[in-house]
Amino acid sequence: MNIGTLLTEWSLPTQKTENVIKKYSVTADILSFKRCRRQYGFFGVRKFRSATATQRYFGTLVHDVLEQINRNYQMKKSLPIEEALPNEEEIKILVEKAHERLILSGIRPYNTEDQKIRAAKLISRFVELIGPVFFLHVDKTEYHLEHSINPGENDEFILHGIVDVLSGAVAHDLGMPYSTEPDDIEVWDYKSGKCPPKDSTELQDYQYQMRVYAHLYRQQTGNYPARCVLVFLGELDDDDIWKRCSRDHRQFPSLFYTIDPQPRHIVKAINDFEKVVKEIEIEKSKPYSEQWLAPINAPDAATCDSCELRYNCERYERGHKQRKEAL
Amino acid sequence: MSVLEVFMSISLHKFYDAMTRANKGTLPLDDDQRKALEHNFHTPLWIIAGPGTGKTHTLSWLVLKRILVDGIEPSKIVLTTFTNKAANELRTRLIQNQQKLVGLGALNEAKQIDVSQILLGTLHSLCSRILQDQRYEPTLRINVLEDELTQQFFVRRQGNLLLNCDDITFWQRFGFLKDSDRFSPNKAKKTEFACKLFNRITEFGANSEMMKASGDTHMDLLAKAYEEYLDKLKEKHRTDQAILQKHFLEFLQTSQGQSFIGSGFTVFVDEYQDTNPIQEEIYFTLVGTRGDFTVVGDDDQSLYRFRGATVESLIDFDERCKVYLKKDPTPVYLKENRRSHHAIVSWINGFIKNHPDMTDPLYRVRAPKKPDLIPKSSITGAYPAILSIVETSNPRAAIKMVEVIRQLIDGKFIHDYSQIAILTFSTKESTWGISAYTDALTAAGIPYYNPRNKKTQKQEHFQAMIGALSIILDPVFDDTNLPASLPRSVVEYIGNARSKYKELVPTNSELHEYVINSQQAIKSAKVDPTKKTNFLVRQGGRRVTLSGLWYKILSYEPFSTVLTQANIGEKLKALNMVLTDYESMYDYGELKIETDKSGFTIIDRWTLYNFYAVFVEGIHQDLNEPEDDEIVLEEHSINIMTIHQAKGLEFEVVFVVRPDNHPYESDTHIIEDELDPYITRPTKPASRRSRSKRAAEDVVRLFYVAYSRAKRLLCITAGTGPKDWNIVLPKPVDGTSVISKKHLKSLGVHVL
Repeated sequence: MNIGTLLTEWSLPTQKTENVIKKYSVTADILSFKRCRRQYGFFGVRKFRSATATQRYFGTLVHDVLEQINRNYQMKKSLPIEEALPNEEEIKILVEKAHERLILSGIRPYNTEDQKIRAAKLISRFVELIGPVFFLHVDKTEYHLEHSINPGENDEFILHGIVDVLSGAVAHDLGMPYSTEPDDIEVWDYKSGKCPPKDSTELQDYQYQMRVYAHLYRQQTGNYPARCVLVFLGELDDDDIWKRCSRDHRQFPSLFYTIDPQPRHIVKAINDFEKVVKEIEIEKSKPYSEQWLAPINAPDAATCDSCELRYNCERYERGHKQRKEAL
Repeated sequence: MSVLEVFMSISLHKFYDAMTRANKGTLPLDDDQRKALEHNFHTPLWIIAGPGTGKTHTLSWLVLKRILVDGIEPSKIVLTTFTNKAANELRTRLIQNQQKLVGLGALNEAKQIDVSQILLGTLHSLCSRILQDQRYEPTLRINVLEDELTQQFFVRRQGNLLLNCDDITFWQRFGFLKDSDRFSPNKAKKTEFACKLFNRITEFGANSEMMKASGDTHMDLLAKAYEEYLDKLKEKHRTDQAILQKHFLEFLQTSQGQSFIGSGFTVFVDEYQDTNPIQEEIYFTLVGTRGDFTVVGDDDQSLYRFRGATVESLIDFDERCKVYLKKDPTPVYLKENRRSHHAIVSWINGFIKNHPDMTDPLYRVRAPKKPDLIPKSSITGAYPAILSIVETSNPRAAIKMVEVIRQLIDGKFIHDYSQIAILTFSTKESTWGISAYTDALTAAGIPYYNPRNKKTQKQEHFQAMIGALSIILDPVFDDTNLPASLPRSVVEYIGNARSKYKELVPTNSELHEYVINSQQAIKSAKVDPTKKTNFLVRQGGRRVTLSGLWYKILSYEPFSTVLTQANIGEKLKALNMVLTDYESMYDYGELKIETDKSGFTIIDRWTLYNFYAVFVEGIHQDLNEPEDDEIVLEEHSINIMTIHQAKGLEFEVVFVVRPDNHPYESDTHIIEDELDPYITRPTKPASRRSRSKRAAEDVVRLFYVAYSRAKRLLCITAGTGPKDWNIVLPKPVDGTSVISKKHLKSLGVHVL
């Protein structure tokens, strides 16, 4: 049998390289990779599944209840404000319902009773403090932003993010201490914790996220939003300030963190985004055995403490000892 | 206000001009593809696209044309495909074509459109996303049972009437048992069959009330079991993939859904031949009364009847449009095949057209007036492109196949092994499957990649991991000590797994030390007799979970090293995924403890039983690596895959191996008939062909897909004579049967 004699007029096939444009999420990819490439590689790319009780419970609970309040408000907004927005008791019921849903969805929190009480408290205070202005201006929630970026030939990727709230001029109506207009468009993002220190990585990450959203918003609509506002509900936990605040949000100086969409910062964020995408692509192109090694610099303690890969991770010193503990 | 609202749509002429410039001076459309683009959309568009006719190419230009010329807003476009991989490819093509229009095409208007706003994805992913975005109350934060095994874990955990059904005639009726079988299926099998029945009821839209009222005891039982399943899903806030679509359809029918639909979406559906009835209803609902609906597909390539697909959706699309939209669709046939050598095109034309199972005086078996494919590939050499290896045994055929592969590589006819695919009905590496072929490749040192080899569960580290878990939880395995009996095969598997672990002990003392310490920790764990349930806790009070133990074991040698090897790492991941699915049904993997007769603490017997009888049972016989539908091609290796997985792919050289091995009439066809009387949807066919004929159609379509994947060379490789597999051969024009090599030659096949 000689195949060569049969295939006399055979033409040599060309080798094609298919270039599929990949999608990258601001939070699930870029920030995760920046936090820890090993964790990202195993859980984000290879899709190993995490076994620890979730850290997401509180944030998701707060987010879901605020979202529900908004939906209810949108249906009842022609009614007087006290009927359109829930009171503390009603908020407790909403928290309970959202909690039940989260538990059924497989989220496993610790100290749920304490967390529910705290969530209801923060949300009630938020609603009381700025609810009438805030919900009046909510335009869209869970707003998808997506755009392709093309830093060079065959380098395209799609950048993706979901904005909590796209709103009208909340800052203007709240009388925020900077220049605002009544027709401003704003991006709002709920954070359930306290505002992190100014120079912290966490706050830098949030700023970065908002700048990318501002960029995407501009790609999608032609204009930047007037501003992005992070609202740190955890700030409302302080009972002393609450007692004496006379329902004036200015008594909580760190409740809002505003990010102006300054082009130079945004360009920097997008450049950084491109750089991280490239790093991820390089990582993916390495042989399997060399991919997703521990990062050179140790991530923050919270990231490592909840990571299943910590027992033999070079960046987590206590891991080796923990590994030897039974069970 | 979106960008689009501010710009006027452009003329088709201008669009074509830009396309031409973007394509070095030639309009990249053949006449049929132009017909599709120039359709006026007053009527639905029915694109029947044979293999290699540029379906994705046409679809991507058509979508851009609808946006730029017809002024359709991207956010009002729904574009679905069959897999996430196909969706990514389509998205890529859209973006690349848009960029071409902007760049070389100099069409500034194209710069302003935002294709990312198109609702593009598989129907499942879109249902999920839209329900989430719309915050539809019944599905808020709903937990989806992502695959069949997870669904089975759920049913097993929650219980169901069918799991207690020992009426053999019930299982025989739906084709799950043979008439000669004398025992009812075990619990795991009952669960698997029950899930299959439930999925078909949902997908076909069978009415459980009618089933109960039928006076048929089997149907009454099935309907009650299905309703019980639905109740349990609701109670646990879960859904399976099929019911997620049902939720979506229900959402579309609410006032919120109606306002979401508005005046109707512009809907494009790719691979429409594999649509099931509930999906069909979703699409027609999304389209609304405007009827702006384009379907693309090839009935000859319909492969998913066993998952509820009904090829009639495409074949009878005209009838369906009349019912839903009171309109006749316009058919467009894409027939210029640019993929394959003309001899291959001629072979597949002859195969499907002349096949006796594909014509019927009473029923449409293929789309009406379907033309032959026209070969237009640049591959034109005068060589025999259809080869066949016909030997008296599979090992002999395998040796010859390996020799052909060697010569193709050595003679530099191809650059790389990855340009070759071996396609077959079952890729299981067993005597019944293709072990003769994989053994021959291994012996010859030819690299191959066979992710669905059904051998994952036998991999030694995979087994050793299960063995390690078993030894921690259950130091002395004795299945007679469990509260219920385990199937013999599970007992054997556990025994093997424990042995695999023990083989690691001499060279991995640290791991063993951890296992022994953990056994001790369980033994001395405190049980509070005043509590109804006690859980095993770690130092610090946190409950120990199965996955937690799994990750700890993983951190020891040899697991931590083999984790970094692709072939083993991916198998361990598959185990991790199934384990977490199992945990989500069974106490989140937390471990209940109790005291034994001697006063020592042990793992609660039911917890242990479930671990063995549900989790180990679920994986011990058949576990695929992940990426089930989303086949990943391995570079520098021959890719071995099922014909189903090869859908949508193409290879320079294709070996269709073991043509004697193909699906038969089965429960799939029986369930279709049995549920038929309880289906009330308006588009249900009044009658259909017999089961045996439908089964035969399925075989022909399967091999049509296999053959049409080949670009340059197709080699049918068999270890038996053609009389055993002539169902997958074209019928000679004289009507005789192909039973010998001589007959094969008369069909134009070069027998090696």
